[in-house]
Amino acid sequence: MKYMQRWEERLLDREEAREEAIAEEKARMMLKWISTIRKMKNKGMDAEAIFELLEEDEAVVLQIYHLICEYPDSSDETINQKLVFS
Amino acid sequence: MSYYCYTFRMRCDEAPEKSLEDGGIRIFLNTRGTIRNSVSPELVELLHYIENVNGETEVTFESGRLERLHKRIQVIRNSKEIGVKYMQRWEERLLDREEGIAEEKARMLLKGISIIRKMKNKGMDTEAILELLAEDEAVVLQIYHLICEYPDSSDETIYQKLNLS
Repeated sequence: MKYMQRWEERLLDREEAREEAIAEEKARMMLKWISTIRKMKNKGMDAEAIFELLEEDEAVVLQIYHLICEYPDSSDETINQKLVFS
Repeated sequence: MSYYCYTFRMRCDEAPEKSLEDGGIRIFLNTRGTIRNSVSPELVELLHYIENVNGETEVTFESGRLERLHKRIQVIRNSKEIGVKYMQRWEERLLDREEGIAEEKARMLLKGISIIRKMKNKGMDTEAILELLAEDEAVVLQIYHLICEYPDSSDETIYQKLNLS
């Protein structure tokens, strides 16, 4: 019984730690996407062409693209903060 | 002035005299409370203990249960075995986190391979790709050259061929 409890606790802890790390990594990656989308936009690519290359969630790509258009002087971190995920 | 204990029950907005009798009650305990209302002296003593305990100051208790609890906490604090167990758990957590990060990095790398392949197929050279992607130059170049060498290989195969140092 105790072994099973410990095993279940271990499983839950493991899942929690992994999900936490994955979420942090995804947040870090989002900054990279913003930087890449900005560079692509500055090279003259439109939102559709960027979406076609990046295969990221279309809504996210469009939102980043439009935020960069609206706030061209904002840093990647500021754009990231303005993002709304549904 | 604040209470030691705050009790919330579900009430109807339209008819405040009606409460939802589903047995659901939320209780918030306040370690910095001052008004006892119906809180037992033992619980007040526990809340003061939680607020002030630091393991160094000598404390005396009215409640025998609380005294036993305090002694148990002191044993745990002073136990090397429990310290080791805590460290083991901490290390396990660190390993689990690393596993999660590695998994996410692998997923992103696969996506990176697909993106680089598409860019290459659009006629972009390594310089143009590097200029756009915020990625490690050595990794981008390696992926690019592997795609050139094995154009029919899947992204997964290219990923397996990657030598990431």
